Amino acid sequence: MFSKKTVLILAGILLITVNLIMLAVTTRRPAASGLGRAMIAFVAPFQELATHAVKTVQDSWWRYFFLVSVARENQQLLQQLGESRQKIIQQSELELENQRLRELLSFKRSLPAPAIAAEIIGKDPSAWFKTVLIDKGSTDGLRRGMPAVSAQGVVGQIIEVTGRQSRLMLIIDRNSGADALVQRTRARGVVKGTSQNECYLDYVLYADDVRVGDLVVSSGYDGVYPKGLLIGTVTAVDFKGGDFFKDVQITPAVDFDKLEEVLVILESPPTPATVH
Amino acid sequence: MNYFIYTTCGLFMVICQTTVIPRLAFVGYFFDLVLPVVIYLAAFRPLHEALPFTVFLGAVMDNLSGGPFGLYLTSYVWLFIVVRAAATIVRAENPIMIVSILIGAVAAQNALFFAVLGTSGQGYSSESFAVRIAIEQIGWVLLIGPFLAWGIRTAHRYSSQRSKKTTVGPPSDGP
Repeated sequence: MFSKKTVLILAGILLITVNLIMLAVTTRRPAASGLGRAMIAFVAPFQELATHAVKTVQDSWWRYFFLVSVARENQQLLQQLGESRQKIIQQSELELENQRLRELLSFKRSLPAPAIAAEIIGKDPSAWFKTVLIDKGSTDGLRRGMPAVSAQGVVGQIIEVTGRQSRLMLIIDRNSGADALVQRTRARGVVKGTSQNECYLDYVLYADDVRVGDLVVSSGYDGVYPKGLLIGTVTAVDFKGGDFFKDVQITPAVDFDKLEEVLVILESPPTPATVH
Repeated sequence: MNYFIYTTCGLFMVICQTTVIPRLAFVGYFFDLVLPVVIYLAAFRPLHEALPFTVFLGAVMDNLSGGPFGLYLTSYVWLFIVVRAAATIVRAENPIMIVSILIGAVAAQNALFFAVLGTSGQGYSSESFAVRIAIEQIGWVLLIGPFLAWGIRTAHRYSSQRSKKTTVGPPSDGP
């Protein structure tokens, strides 16, 4: 009755029509039907599982790369932290050095003669002697007998000079001696070291007034140390009845354990007797 | 080669003694670090190479110290003689023996310094100061001594092995 071609065309039209009707019906009904819900319920767990698995793999993958980069970054940050710490330490050290040198410089301006700054490069190997090596020598104008001071007070005198280094005997050395005065009463004596961190003011007459806390300064009579430089503070005074002199113990003004730089006075000071 | 090793070792000890240790505030009075070197030389090395180097070390220390020249030299040479004589009787390789010798050396050196400075009339000579120095230094020997003894023993074994290898030599090819 119908040709094969006509049947195909009619079937196509029917399919399109039914499809359009179905689309029209389903778009008006948003909620899933019972079958739809069943389908979703069936597929969803697999979808969830698959999504989870993919996500886990993806996360692991990214985390691995993240960890690698974090580890690398951590390494870099640790290195930067170490460098920063080192810089802070260097900075603090420079600040401290700067402060010390400023003190030394302002003290240098107050000195009666030109002076040169020197750094301590070594200490005496023996506990029995108190000498230090400094990094200035005869090429810098240093000579034997020149006094060395710091902003805190008298340090010692040069006892040996080489081209670029010198040996400095500290006033606490057992062989050291410096003519000194008690500032308050002008009582005179000789400061002698003990090779410990203390000195004695010898030859102070029993009649002289010396008390604990008095300041002891250089007298300038020894021709080595300029007059008026602080040597230390009296910490003990003892007088035995039969003696002619008092035992006066002094704590030096300079902390020799922490001493790092000194000023060497380049010209010997004139003795007070020659000053008019 | 041996002199190079001795010089390096001696210089290292001298620098530690004069530059590094004084900066460590907690140390106080540390013993003479050259003493272990002298003990090693006296106990284990041949006289012709050990004695000149001991004298050299003494001269170096005397030049670095503010004391009268010859004080260190005297202490080292006497220590050398005593240890060399003792090494013929006792087994100096024993670590306890090395530490004991070191303690004796520290005590003897301080006694020598005290005696010389006391008799020369140089400044104050306080017995309590001398005792304090000796006690602190011996304390440090007790702490550090075992490590030094181990170092000395290792150095001795190493040098013995080396000398054995050089004296045995390669096998001869025959006539």
